[in-house]
Amino acid sequence: MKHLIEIYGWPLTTFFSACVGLWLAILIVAPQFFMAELSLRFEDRGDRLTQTVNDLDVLYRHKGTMEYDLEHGPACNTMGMINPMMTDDSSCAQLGVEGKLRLEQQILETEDLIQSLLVEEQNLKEIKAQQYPYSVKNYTAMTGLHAWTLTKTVVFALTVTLIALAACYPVAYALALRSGPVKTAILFTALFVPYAVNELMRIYAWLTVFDLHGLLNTLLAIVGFAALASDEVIVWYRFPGTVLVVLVYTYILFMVFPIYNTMATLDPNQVEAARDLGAKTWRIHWRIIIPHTKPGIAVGCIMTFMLAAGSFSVPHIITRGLQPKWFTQLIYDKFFESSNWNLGSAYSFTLLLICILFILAIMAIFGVKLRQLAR
Amino acid sequence: MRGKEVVLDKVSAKFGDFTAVNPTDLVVNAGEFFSILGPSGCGKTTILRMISGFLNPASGSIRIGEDIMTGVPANQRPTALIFQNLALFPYMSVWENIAFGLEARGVGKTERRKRAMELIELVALSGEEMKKIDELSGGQRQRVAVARALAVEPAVLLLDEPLSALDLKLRQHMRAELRQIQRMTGVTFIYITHDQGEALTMSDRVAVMNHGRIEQIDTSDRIYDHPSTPFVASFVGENNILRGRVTAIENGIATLESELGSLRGRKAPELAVGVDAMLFVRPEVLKISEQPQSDNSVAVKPVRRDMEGAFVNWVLSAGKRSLVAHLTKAADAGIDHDRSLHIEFAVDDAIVMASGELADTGGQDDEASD
Repeated sequence: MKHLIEIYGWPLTTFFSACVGLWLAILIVAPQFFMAELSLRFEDRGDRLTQTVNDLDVLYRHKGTMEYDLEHGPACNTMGMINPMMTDDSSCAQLGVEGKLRLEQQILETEDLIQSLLVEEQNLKEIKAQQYPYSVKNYTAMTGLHAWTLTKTVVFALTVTLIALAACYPVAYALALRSGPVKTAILFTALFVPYAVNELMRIYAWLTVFDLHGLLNTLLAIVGFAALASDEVIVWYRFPGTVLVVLVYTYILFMVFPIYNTMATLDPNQVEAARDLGAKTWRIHWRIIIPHTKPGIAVGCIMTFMLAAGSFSVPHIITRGLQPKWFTQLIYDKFFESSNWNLGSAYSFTLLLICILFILAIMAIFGVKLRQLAR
Repeated sequence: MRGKEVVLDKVSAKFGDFTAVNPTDLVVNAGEFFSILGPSGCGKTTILRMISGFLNPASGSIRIGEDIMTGVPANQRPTALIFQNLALFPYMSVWENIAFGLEARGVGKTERRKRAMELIELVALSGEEMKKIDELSGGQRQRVAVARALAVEPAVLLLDEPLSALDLKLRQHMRAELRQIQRMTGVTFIYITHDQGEALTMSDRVAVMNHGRIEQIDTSDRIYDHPSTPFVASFVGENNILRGRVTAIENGIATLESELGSLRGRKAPELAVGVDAMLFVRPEVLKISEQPQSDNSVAVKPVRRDMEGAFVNWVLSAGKRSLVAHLTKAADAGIDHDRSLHIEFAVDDAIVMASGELADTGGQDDEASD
């Protein structure tokens, strides 16, 4: 802080600090706190209060429809849908006086019902307000199926991490220690160019590979293992491998760069010294290069794992609904399909917890300290 | 003992169009402490890398003992290299570093440990075996590097300016230590340096290199007293250099008609009358007096007197030339600044050579600035 003030002076330093503070508060602390709070409130979809609220919703809508009908005449068939409020098939035409009276009577009855339900809702709310609102029920309520989905997601994310590591270590090695400046520049450009394209576009591009009449099936057809015309093709979207491949492709740079960065700081003399002392290639990697590159490998694994475990778009786009959902898709459904933010938040935090455990495990395995990771 | 001879047969090295080492013949005897001395970029490290197997010669062949090394990779040669920055392994302890070569050869852990401990004792590092490299001082690291290289029992140890990172005191101490280790083990040492002090004090023989070519191979004494080219004469030690033309040669004595008059010195081989030549005379053989005893003298004016300790350095001007003399304290005592002075030297102490390229010593041997 003192250092910052020396460089930028009081006004700028205050401004910077305020910006950072605001950013922390609005984009990190507040939403996290909001979600954490939500996740600890269990919303029982089957209790009487929820039912009452739902019933009220239905009654209000019912009443509104009847009032509209009273004013404009009933629509027997609007937008191709049968009006559910029409009890009488023959009344498609103008409402008679009798019909109007009956409708007014129904409206009054509905209002009475609404009033009594409002009282009940009030009572139930008061009872609920007296109860302690927080519980961990959202965290413990996960069904066996969802737990299995979570397990599979974690296992798939681990697989992606391992494949990415296996693919990236040789690439990083070639970039950092085996190629001259020109070759490195070319390789880097080749790695970068695809990443100039929007991530969603890159994912969608894979559909042209996996599609029923896509690249893979066309190639198979050429060698005679498939027939496009009669749709005797392989439905690639069914195989979990497709998601794994696309995930590896999507996040590969996050593995290459940390490894490359640490590997590039290795003194080439170390490698030569080991070779001079008689070490074969694998021993040089095992004893010299990998120990030096550990922090980079750890960072790469952590980033790739977290991105893969948290990826929504890749499984969503690639599976085409032909594979079981990933846990991220479940979370999405909780938030936006069943609009249960409480359970959604709890699921998100569960995934976050697993990611944190993964980070700690990686740090323990590689014997890396937090300070080294930050480098 | 266990050292082997190293023979270079017309070995050359090229990087693209650039010739780093011209075809070179060199014989390093078994068990010898041999130095290659030269300015940076002269090709000395390239020669070392070719012997160690990290670089293939563009032509010629290298023999170590009875075996031709062509096609033998670095990890199978009977050599061990000590790098300029030592290149110790920071993630290993001292003893693991030293035992790494044995590990690579599949020696079991107990045996490895035993051999490492013997070497740790040899280089006086007992008690430090469990430490990490970054816990050691510069001199200790040096010793670990030496022990690590010796652990694989090389026939030839190659050293690439390993002392250059140390401070002066430690450097002088390590010189003696390296020399002692070399004598004790009998391994052939090939030592690369741009520091003439290192090369002269430690070596049995020294090769002086310039522009990818070996200019002279000789003992330290002969390199210093009988340089065979102007480059060697100007690179090794200090020298006063006077240019002129050879007017007479008689009984191995050449007379040079120089800018400061007629002076005489030993004739270098292949010197002929009438050629442009240089006379080299070392600062410590110059005598300063008011009345010269011989005609091999030059009238000078004192410019500066620097007290160096054992010697007193005099900077003198003669015409446009600047000359340097190193006097003992006793010789310095009788000199009177205000009188007109002469320098003189014995004919045998100077050497006259055909003009050639000089080492770049910052221009101090050339025209005086005043």
